[in-house]
Amino acid sequence: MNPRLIGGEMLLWSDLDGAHGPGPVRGDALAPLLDAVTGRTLVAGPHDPELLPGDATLLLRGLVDAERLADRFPVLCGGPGKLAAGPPWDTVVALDGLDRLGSAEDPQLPWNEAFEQLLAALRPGGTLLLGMENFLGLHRLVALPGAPSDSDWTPVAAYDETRPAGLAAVRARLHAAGLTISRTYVAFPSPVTPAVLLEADLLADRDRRGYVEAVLSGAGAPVDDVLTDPRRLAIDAVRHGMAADLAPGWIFVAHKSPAPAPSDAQPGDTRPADTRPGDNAAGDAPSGRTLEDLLLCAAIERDLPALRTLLAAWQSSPEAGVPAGQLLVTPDRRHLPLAPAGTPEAALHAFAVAVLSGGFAHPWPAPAGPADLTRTLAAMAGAELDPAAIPAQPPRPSLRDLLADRDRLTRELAQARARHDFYERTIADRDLALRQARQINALLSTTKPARALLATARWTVRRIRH
Amino acid sequence: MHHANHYYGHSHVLARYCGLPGADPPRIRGYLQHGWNIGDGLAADHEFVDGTPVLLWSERTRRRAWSLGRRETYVVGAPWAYLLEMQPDPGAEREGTIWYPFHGWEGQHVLGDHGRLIDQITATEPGPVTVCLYWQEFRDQAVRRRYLEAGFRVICHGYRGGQWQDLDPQFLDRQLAEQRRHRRVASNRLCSAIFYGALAGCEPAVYGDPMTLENESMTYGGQARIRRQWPELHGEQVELAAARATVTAELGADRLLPAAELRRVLGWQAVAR
Repeated sequence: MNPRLIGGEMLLWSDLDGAHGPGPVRGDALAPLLDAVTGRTLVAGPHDPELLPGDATLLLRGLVDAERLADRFPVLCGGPGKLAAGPPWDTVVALDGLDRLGSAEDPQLPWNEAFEQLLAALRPGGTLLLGMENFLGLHRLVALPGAPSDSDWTPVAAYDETRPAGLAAVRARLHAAGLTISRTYVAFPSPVTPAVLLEADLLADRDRRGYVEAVLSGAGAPVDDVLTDPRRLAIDAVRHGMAADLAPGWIFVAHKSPAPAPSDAQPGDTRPADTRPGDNAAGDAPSGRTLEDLLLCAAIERDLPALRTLLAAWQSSPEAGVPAGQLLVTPDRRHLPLAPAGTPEAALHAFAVAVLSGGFAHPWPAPAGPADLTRTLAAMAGAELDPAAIPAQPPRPSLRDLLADRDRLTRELAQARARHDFYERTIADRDLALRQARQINALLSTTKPARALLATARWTVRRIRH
Repeated sequence: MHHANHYYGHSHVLARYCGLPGADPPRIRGYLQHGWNIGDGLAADHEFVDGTPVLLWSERTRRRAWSLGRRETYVVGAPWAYLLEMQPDPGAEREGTIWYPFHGWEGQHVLGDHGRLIDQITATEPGPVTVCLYWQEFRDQAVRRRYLEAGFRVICHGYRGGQWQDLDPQFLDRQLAEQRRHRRVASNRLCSAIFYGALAGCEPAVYGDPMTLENESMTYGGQARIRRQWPELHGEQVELAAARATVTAELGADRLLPAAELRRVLGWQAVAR
């Protein structure tokens, strides 16, 4: 019988439709991980069914989801409590973590107990793919207060003392459970919809900082309103060696003892990050810094000659349309694009937006906005842009942008008023000078010699015209 | 914006560099530093409208201006440096010294002993001396005669202009032609002319009684501070490499803008299109 009801099933519930919570864990970044799972596999919790291997068995708490997927997968419907009764699995996948396994019909299990239940369903030597949301992740640091969803009936997770908090604590907990972690991935920009997965070790590699920054800043603009753009924070976190600790989520590939021999192929060996466009050889992230990083450093140092050299080299190269944040400058000064090229105007504009919305003390005096700065940047590279080719500024400012805009507009209004007063005074001075000149003119035209002179002048002008 | 932007034909030189007709330069969107300056780059008597860009010669002046509260600043370099970019040194033979006695500006008077200064110049300079006077002093027959009687050639580069009247687009061209005739440039105070001459290939020297300017402002430390801060440019003979490095930096000659950028910064792009 499929779906098989194992107790605790929720009759009027769907995690997959996204109407009662954040929807299933999803995103192409997860595909390589899931493609590589082997053996009898249990997928526990809400995952995008399109990503799942066809022979996996699903554990879903909502009957609506279970019935919808029953013609494609074997489905167990209910809570995790009864799992241990069946034969253990070769692989257990729980990329959503443990927080959405339990049913509203059952008491909310502490994380520790849910973890033990899941682990009990894994055979010795089996593989666990476990996702964890980081409650101190950048996605939460920049989030505005939100309303609880239908699935938050006991929203205890962040205060659950048994739930390991922080990357080191999670790793220690997995070790303590007899698991050997073969790989740790960090997930950005959200644990439920990761756009990129990177190996945690890569984030600590100083030589690969540019690559990591490019990947993280390419993870897409925030979908919801935020306090500040998390991509800029992510780049700062990389710089400070904190990116793994502040990642929105982690995914662990862990093996229950006895651990497999290192030569055995394991899920996770195909690195998700390697699926990004523009990547080079598998797993071999290039070294270098992003052009955006180099440009910002030169701008903040006020090294205008260096800035001009960088801009001119970029804009005269075939990569002129690749955004600076997605263009690596290798140690031997080569350009290595990590994203497809758009127009040069759009690439310069993206950098102008990054400069102005990043809150940098940049060197340009009173730019009227990103479009204005875009033209100046092009001019620094020796080119003049057609203003019509500059794209419009993307909407969705962060709260920080709104406050900065308010302060800037207040300042600009005061400056515009000061200029207005100056122009008024200048016009008054010029009016006075004009009146005096006219008076002198009138005075001269009443005297005989002056009249004769004027008559000659008029006659000359007429002759020239005809 | 400000009439001082047209002093010495500065805006005319920049217009030529930008590919615009040099005879009638458009308004500059900002205040252009018009002389070497130990303060924030603006003349003390300038009316300043908040939010208007301040276009400075050097990175050092920009840092100082920032510390004094100026924010909308940009280093463009001195118009003199652009003139030299446009007119490379033809390498003609040079002789003697062009000497700039310290002058006051309009409405100021210099107190000091011209006779003693003349003796010192005669004793120091190895070749023929050309004395270049500010237009006020050039018109003062007594001052002029004293230098002539000392056997010096006496010249004046011209009137810098003011309030958009009597502008002199060729001022700097004449100054450059004169300086390139001379092997040395000297003054009793470190001033724009010394920087200009040194960038134009003269050996700079600053010596002699710096004299006193009536009601001279000591806000930025005056002569004592100048000697402390720029010792490499003071003395009858200076170490040339160090002097040249300072001069290049103070005139921003190491960071001139491409014409397209300068047109943007000056607000001339619409005019050029």
